Amino acid sequence: MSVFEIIGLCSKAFVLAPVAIGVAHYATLKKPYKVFLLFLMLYVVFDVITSYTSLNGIHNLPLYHLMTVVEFVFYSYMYHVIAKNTSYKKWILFIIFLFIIFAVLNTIYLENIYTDYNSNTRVVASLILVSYAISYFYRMLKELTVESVGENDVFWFNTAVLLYFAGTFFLSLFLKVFFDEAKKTEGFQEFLYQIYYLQYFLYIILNILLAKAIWVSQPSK
Amino acid sequence: MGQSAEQINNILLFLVGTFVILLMAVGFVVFVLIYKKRVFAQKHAFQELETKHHKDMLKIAIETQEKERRRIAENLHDEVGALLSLVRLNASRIYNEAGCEDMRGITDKTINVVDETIANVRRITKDLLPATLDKFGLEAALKELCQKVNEATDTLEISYDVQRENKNLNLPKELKLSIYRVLQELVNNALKHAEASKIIVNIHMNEDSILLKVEDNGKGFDMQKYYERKKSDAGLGLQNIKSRISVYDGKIDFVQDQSKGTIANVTFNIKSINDEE
Repeated sequence: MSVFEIIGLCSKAFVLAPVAIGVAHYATLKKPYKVFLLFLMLYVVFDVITSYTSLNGIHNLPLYHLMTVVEFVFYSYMYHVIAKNTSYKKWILFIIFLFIIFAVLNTIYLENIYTDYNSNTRVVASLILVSYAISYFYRMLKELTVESVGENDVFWFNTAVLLYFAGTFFLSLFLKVFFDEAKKTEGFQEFLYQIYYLQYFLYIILNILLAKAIWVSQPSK
Repeated sequence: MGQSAEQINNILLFLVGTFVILLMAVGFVVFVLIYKKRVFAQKHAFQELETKHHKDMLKIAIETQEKERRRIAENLHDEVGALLSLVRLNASRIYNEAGCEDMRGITDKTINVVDETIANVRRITKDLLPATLDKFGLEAALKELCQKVNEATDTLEISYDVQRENKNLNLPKELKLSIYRVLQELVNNALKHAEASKIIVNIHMNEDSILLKVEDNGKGFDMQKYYERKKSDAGLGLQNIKSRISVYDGKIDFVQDQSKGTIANVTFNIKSINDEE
């Protein structure tokens, strides 16, 4: 196992932080976080399978296609719960529906589920999730209902989403191109590794912030 | 490795794009935090200003009320009191010079009524203007109040205790008057509404606050109703108490036990005066 692979596995292990906090405080967890915990557990399974398959050279692209949709649905569900406005809630449901259709069409016509990395769906998902995050921050400033952000779980959750999906936006956009380049150009693989370090770093930040969100979401905190 | 111009462009676009978007995201979060902090600070400052204005208005209202009481008390003492004394003097003369027993009897009754009226005027004057408070301080005024209540009723026993953590604690005149008025109102309530036969008054003073505890063995009142009703629905006496204590960021709460009676706990925050000064 190379250094790159070890670092990758270590960063993936950080997803265990929010999972551990969620499981330890499951009884006092708010209902949306219980649902989100299910997603995080699903993500652990996904990480284990993709790590195993990539280490053993087994084809796993369909899993990435599927997980992007699952991830988008769970994050959107959280924003659906956070939203107070009924029309905003309806919009989120409508966007989820549209996204699923888009993802299906994308795999049929644009990015093959077995041969292509799903850049399109990841880029669109990132854009939508970043928009959710910005719109929540806008509402937070407009309504001024949250005084102590340190104790506000939604603030931490929202910050996690904004930083991770904004940070990985260009990665999602260019990853397919870089994969193709890596196949053609000798030594480009090394550059891809450097890019992945950024992804790992953002993934660690995401999980730390999600862990904080789950931690402060408990009624006693 | 040999990289084409397109590859370099893609790499540059990726690196610059990621750096800029991350910077924007972090900047956005920081902006939200700073902006929110600033707006909340403004909101708090406005609320403080509003509270201060409200307190100032209350202070002025209380001062006006006290001035009016003083004016009425002085008029009662100087004019009504003096005239009543004159009536009594003349009635005494008539009594001494009356020729028949009937006349003496009527005059005697008149003198008794005038004496009673003079005593009532004195009592009302003292209630309106607690001179003892001005001259001898809170403890003496409290003692006088208890004595008066004890003398006025045979069925009621009232006792008091004052504890000072700092013997040199010098309270402002307005605060002493407010404590006295609140106490007057609470004792009055215990007598009138609770039909108590025993009242215990405790005052505990320290550098930061004054705790006033009035305990009675009366029948109490409907606590649920008291806590549920709005400020505007409160009785006049209770409204007065609340107004006076709110000037000092104080609070009042009642503890009730059906078998033992009611305990009223009032807190005056002295620190609030010092902070304002």
